Amino acid sequence: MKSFFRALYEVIGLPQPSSETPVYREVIFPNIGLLNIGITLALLVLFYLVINRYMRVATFSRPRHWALFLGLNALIAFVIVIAQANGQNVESHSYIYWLALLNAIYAAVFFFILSLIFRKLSVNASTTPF
Amino acid sequence: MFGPMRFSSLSFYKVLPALAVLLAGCYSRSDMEAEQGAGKTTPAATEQPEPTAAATKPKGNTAPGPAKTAASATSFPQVNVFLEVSGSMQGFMPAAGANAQTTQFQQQVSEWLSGLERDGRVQQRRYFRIADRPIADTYRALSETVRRGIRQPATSTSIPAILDTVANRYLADEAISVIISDFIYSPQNPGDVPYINTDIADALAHSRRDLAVSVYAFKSDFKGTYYPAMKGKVAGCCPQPIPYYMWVLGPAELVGQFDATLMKDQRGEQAHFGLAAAEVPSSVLSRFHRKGTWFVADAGKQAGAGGHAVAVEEATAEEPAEFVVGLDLAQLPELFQKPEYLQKNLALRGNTTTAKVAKVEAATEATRRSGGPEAAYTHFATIRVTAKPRSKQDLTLALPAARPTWVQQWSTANDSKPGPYTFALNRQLDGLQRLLASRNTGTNAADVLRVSLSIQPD
Repeated sequence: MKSFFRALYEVIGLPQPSSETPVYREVIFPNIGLLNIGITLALLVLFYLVINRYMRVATFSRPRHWALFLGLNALIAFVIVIAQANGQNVESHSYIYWLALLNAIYAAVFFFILSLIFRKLSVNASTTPF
Repeated sequence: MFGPMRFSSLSFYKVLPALAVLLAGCYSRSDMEAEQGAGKTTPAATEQPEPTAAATKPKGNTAPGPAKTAASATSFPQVNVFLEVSGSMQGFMPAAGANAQTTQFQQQVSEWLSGLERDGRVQQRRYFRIADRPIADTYRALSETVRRGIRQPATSTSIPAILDTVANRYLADEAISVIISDFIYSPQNPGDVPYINTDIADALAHSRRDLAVSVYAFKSDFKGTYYPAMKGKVAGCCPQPIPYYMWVLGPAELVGQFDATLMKDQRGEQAHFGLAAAEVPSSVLSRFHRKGTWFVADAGKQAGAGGHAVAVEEATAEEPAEFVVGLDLAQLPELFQKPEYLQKNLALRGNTTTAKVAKVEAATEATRRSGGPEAAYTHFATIRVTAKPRSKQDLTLALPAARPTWVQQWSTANDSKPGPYTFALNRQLDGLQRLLASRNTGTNAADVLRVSLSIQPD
């Protein structure tokens, strides 16, 4: 699992500064990866199942609502990287923000791909995003 | 915590006794001295800390309790003491008249003998006078000899012969042998002086594999006839103190314990051969003065943690990777703490040509106060890696053993004018060192300190 997240996050290069590599590989990559997946799933459940199936909210199934959730997911993914980096006391470096951006992109991609599955479980939003 | 105690306003004297009792454990003598040194204390105040000092004292004694119990667990099944009683030793033990002053030799040796005789850790003690062969003696008789002088001086015995006998016949398992002598050795043929080191090594060559030798050197007044190594004699000697030595021989482990217990707090100089190399606290510092792209592979999950394995991501001759190994050398002799000496002698051993010690620096005020992991170390060795390793390579950062500086000062090539030096001492100790260094590379005869490191690709 560690090596999976390591491969996932080292596509933008090795952690910087390199002194902090062990902490990124041992702690931060797995943490942000798992949080990212978990939060993405939680938001998808909230959007497709809670709001648009059980609650049957009539006016929250449009693509712009979906896009709002996607943006929210990406924002959370960005923030958790910075929070993790601070929490683990790694040396500050612009790499942290690159990593946060990468994590936000991954969050958006996951959200999009998983939406194609989750929409089938929904009633009101079964055609969102398309 | 001591702030209020140092504060010498009058209102405090009322609560001082109570405070003094409460803080007895925290109040140390240095604080007291600081307070008294300030010179502002009234008699009332200076008297108050007295009971606290008394209360602290037993505490201070019990503080190193665990270490003491560990030491008391050590025991010495057998200790053999050999005292040379040839004519050349007479000057150290002059026959004392009623008003005669004793020599330092008499003081130190009889104190040491008495300490040995009383020590509960020693199970069996044997005492010998060295004539042409060791002659068994009692503590009382030997102690008497030291105090009252040698009755019948034996003919001189050569040092290699003594060493040979002791090492082969009196170093059974778990036995420590101590030889007390002036260690003046003159080969029969003056042309053989350059071979003194070989003679010493040969004498010990067939001794036990784990032999270690600790040499303690002392100086003492000398009243009598001095026999220089090569020829002649100097009567009514000597205006200057003359050296004598105690050599502790035995299995390395026991000698180490003996050094730490029964030879503790001996004044004079010392040199140790064949003991286990010192384990100094050390760590690769992941953030301190780093260059290039590398990380500490065994650092674990703590940011900024150190370790001993370095993963190098990139390194070339033009852009080398540099990492710093923090070393705490406070326990080593002074010579081995000199940055210039370390710079010259600290070497990185291993199957690589691409990693080298680039520089060695002592800790500065800035590093001590940094609050980072570097604050724990007294020295910093910068290692430069000029190529990315292809596989994991084990390296050893080692300081090769060297003759202690005092040995040269205590040695002479000509002792016809007696003084505070011994004929060819350096050659004797060189022989000892070379023999023991070639036997066990892990001992301090070979290396003063060793730090295991490794470099690996990412």
